[in-house]
Amino acid sequence: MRIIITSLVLLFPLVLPAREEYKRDFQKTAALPAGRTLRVEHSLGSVNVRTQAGNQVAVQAAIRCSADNMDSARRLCDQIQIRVEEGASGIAIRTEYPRNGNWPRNISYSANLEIQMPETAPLELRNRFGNVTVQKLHAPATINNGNGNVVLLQGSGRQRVENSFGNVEIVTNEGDVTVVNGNGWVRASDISGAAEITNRFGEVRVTNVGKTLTVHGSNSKVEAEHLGGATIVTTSFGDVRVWDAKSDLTVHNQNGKVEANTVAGTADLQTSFAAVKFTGIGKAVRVVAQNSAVTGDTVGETATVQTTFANVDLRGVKGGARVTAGNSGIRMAGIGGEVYAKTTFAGTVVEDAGGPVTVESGNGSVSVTAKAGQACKPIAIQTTFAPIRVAVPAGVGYTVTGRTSFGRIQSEQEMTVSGAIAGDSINGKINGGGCEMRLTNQNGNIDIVKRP
Amino acid sequence: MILECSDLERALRTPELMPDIRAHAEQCTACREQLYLWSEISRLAPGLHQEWESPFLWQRIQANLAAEPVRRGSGLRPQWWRWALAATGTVVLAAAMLQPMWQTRRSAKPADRELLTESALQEVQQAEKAYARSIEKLSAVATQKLESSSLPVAAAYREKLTLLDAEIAELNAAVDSNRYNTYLRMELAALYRQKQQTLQEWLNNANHNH
Repeated sequence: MRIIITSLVLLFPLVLPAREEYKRDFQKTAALPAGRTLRVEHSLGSVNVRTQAGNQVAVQAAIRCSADNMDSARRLCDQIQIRVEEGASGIAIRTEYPRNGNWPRNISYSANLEIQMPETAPLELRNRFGNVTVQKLHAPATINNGNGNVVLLQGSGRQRVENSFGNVEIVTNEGDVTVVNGNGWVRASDISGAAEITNRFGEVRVTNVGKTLTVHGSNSKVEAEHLGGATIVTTSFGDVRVWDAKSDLTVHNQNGKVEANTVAGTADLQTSFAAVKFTGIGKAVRVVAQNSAVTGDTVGETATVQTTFANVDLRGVKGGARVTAGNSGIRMAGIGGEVYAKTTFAGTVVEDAGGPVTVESGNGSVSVTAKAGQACKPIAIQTTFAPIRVAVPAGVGYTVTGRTSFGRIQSEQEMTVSGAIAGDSINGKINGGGCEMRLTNQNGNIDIVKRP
Repeated sequence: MILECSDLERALRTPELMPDIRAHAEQCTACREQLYLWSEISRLAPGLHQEWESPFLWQRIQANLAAEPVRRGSGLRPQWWRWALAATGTVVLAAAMLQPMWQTRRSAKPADRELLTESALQEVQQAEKAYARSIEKLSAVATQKLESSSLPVAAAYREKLTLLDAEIAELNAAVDSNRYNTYLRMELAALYRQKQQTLQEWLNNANHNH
């Protein structure tokens, strides 16, 4: 008996009073003259819009109601009205649900709309609590949705989508696109015009945008690739990754990584508390970061990097490079133009420097290697409490001024010394003199060596 | 809180312990594997779900109930039907317990039914209550840290929770006059789930930062 009682308890949900469900279909067709707008105002159900070449608007609605008994469900469904009103400005489709006052609490209802409309008629659509799909519309559309997903497919014209608590996906649009979303992801691909995307909580992914891309995210991860125009991304608490931008790129992030890969124009990258990586920047790159490691290579013009509390590794810059860091190690290699590096409490390594080198360091070692096979370039290094090491190619002339305290100065290169010889300072010429080499240290050694 | 592998089952039953056990799992391979297995089971379970119509089940049970005194008196006392009934009950119980999970897992897909049946509504309401309880417990742990934190990330979480609370209130108002609407219920469940995840994320974040 215990087994039976247990089973009855378990089966209780199956014996609850049954509900009755009633479905009513609605259909109406109306003509929409050229240049007039279709307006749709709906809620509690999906809206699916398709287009056709003619000027007819065809509306189909599937209205479903449930209640304790079939009669109530039917009466409820009969009171749900789909209004199709023709006016001077176009056609308005509006769904009206009965007011709740006269109905028992346990009724429920929904209505799904299927609309066919002229492909060249502008569309204004508002929906709440349901998904929206618009396909092959070749005219401007404004879609305002709440608590539902919005999908736009194969359209053309200027499209604007506002949504809250749902995802937005736009696949192929010949024209500009604006998306303002609240809490859901946004995806846009194959947009021939400009795209402006705002999202509050949710990731943004964009592929193939012909003109300018602007993303305003907050708490949003952003991924964008194959971008034809200038790209501006602002976000926080989410990583930003951009690939293949054919124009300038600006990223302002906070508490999120920044990665830029293959940018034909300039790159302006900002973030805090997360790493910055870039590669293949056609023009100048500028990085402003806090507590962020910065790694970058292959820059067509100049590079300017500013960060704190994390290392900088910069390689292959055709022009000059300027790195300002605090409590951070700096490594710069293959810089074609002028090199400037400033840091504290960490080492600085400059390799294959093609232009003049200036290093201002404090409590950090400095190692500089001049590029071989070219004329001399000035070198100025200053640090404290750590060694300085300079490697210069054989046969290249320098006029050396070296000074240190509580350290020694040594040179592998043959040097003609002028003036007084002392262990902590030296004035001399390598290979008959040439570019200025000024080495200033406190409490650290200075070594001048031949580069291998 | 410092947790070890032996606390895993307890943590799986108590959502507010999950951030701590995840933090532990980052350092512990054995625990990480266990957590991975659990998450895989949760991921794969919906795919194994099957439903079938049993319109005469209740009638059969009624018939068996009616026959029971006779059988008692007959002295034959066949046991197989009891086991069959118990097995059926177990399947139904398992289905009833897992149904809310399946429903929430499937919430991203369009609803098969526009309007819920009475039994489905009961199950959804149970799932909502479970979410509400879980959120209440999480809130008790998370709110104090969240309100007192001056970190920018805390401000972001506060903003998101405010947004979610406002939307939950709005959806509850809509549900109140349309209780069997599947879409509204799914949206509400999705919002509860987001709020639960947001609180868990924040706790995880706060534990890492303190």
